[in-house]
Amino acid sequence: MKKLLTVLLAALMLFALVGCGKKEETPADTTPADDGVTKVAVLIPHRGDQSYFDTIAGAADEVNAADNNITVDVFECDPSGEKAEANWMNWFDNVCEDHAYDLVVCGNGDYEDFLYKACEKYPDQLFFNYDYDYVPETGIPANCYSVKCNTAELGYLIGSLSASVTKTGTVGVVVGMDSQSMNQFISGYCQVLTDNDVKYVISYPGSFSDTALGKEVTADMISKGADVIWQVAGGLGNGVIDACSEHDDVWCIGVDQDQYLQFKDTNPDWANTILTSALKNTGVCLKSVIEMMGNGTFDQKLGKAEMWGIALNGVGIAENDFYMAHTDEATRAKLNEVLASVVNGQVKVIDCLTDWNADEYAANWPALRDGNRVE
Amino acid sequence: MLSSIFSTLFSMKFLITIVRLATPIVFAAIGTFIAAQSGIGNIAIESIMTFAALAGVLGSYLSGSPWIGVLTGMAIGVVTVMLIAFFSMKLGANAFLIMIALNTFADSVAIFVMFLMTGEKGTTASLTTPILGSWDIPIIKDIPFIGEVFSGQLTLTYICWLIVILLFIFIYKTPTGMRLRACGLNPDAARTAGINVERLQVLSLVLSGIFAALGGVYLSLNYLKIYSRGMVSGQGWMGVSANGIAAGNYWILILSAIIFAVFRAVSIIFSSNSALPTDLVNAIPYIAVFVILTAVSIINYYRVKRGKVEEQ
Repeated sequence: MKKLLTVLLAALMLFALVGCGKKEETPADTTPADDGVTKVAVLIPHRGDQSYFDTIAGAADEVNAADNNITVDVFECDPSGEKAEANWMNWFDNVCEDHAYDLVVCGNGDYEDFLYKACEKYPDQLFFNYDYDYVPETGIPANCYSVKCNTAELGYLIGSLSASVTKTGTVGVVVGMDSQSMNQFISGYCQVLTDNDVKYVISYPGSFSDTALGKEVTADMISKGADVIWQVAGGLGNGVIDACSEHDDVWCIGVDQDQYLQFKDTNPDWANTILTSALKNTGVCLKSVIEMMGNGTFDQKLGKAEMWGIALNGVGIAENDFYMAHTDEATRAKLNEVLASVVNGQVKVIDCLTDWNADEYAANWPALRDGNRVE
Repeated sequence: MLSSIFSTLFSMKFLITIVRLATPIVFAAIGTFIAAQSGIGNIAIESIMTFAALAGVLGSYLSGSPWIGVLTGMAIGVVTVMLIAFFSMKLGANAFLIMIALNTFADSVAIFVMFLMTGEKGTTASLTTPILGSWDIPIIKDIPFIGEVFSGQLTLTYICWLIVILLFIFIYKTPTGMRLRACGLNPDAARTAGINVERLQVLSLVLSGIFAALGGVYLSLNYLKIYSRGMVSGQGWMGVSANGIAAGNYWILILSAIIFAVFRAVSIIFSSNSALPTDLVNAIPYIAVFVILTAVSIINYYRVKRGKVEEQ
């Protein structure tokens, strides 16, 4: 009896193995070039983070919804955020093996190592990295294009807006951590405010989640006279928004995505304090790259790493109805001038992350940070 | 620059900030204290606060009443401590391990539940949640200095201080409270005296769960209007530390909780200042915990050595 069972089980396992093998052998019916449909695979850890990855997934959904010959499949590869290499390489294998996709998209510093490994493994496959953290020593692989939103220019933009909106002459920014990469957000901000002789308060609460701290830090800023407060602090930023919403004459500026839209329906108190949001348009980058695929210009970009700033719409501010209703013509015109001057190179925005190495950062950053800072 | 810091330190605003920041820490501290009095070290305060903060928002959203939200949060607090009691007292597992497990997975469970309810993983901002407001005390609010500090605070802050007084009376002035302390001091003696030790320990755990839960609900339903992932951020641990410093003295417990709030407020003032490195500033409340605990141990050591108190 026991022997029979063993044999049966062995047979079953063999059968299962054969079954697996068969499945893999089946060639993909839709090779990309056949049907004129551009197929794009987007690999993100998960949806529902209300900012970063939802922006990418949302852009993919928009492309799908539009009437075109492009399908974008979004794969949620890592719902629990474990960042395990085996899991990610498995997902890359799944999408790359059959060459079913014209373009495979992934990004973010946490996952780009896996992306670059996949680039090596599948040299015939095209890849796009929508937010690179660093360029590998061997350079960007020849079958990949990496971009990054230029947050220094974004900070310059927000600084200019804050300077023209403020009534008290003092503005503020709450930055989650004091690090070179977080300070990239505010290097342009400090630069433009110092140039315009507007005072600013910078606060580093040292957390991305402690909402209570965020609220108190902001209350402290408001008591120092700041009336336009930008938050670059993830979940802690919710505390910043809440503190601003308790004062009628204080504006908050959101980050990453349009936070006015996020809160408009469910939390109007908060929405009505968010003048605009500083956008990292990773979604726009994705859409532009898909467009490049269509018109054949993508091939020229391969092997390159580029910063997408204001000129390429990689960063910008949320120009929603609320923003339009609460800013005057002069403010918007002035901001457009700033945009133009950055795009045509009249203004060189200081970027503390890419312009400086660690030593230069240590030497130069305090002076830039403390330019017109009030404490 | 330094003068501006000093003027802030002695301002009204600073005092009010301390009152706001102290509430969750005091809740956490009395939650740990009551459990410790019956002989149970409840270190799951942080996780109970997390669960309750989320449950409070969901309860308030589903029922439309913030008070139902508070009750939901308290219920979840009780359920959590009952789990601890069940595993440790009934099944004989090590209570500390269970509490460590709870603390470890609390944030993830909260995110999971939040995802099931809202489809979001960051905040519950997509739910319109009725929240508790603040309370203006009729006559007191017109008195200059006192009015600003004592009136217009958040509702749960008043409940917190009410509980602080009631709990003192309960522990030190009622027979049940004294029996409860007897369980903590010497369970065997208490048992010999005919006290049902397990029942009193469960009672103290339930109270502990309720107090911790109120601390969590305060953060999500009164102080802010959403649950945001990781929002408890160590405030439960500060309560546990306060209990460690107090070593059984109720008023020192409350004082230490307030001192932690003071240091949190100090770190806020320094966080927008370049006088000190920010990493150091952000560590101020934790350095304070360390320094005070060390100082208290040294003082106790010498008191024991001089024979003023017996070694515990």
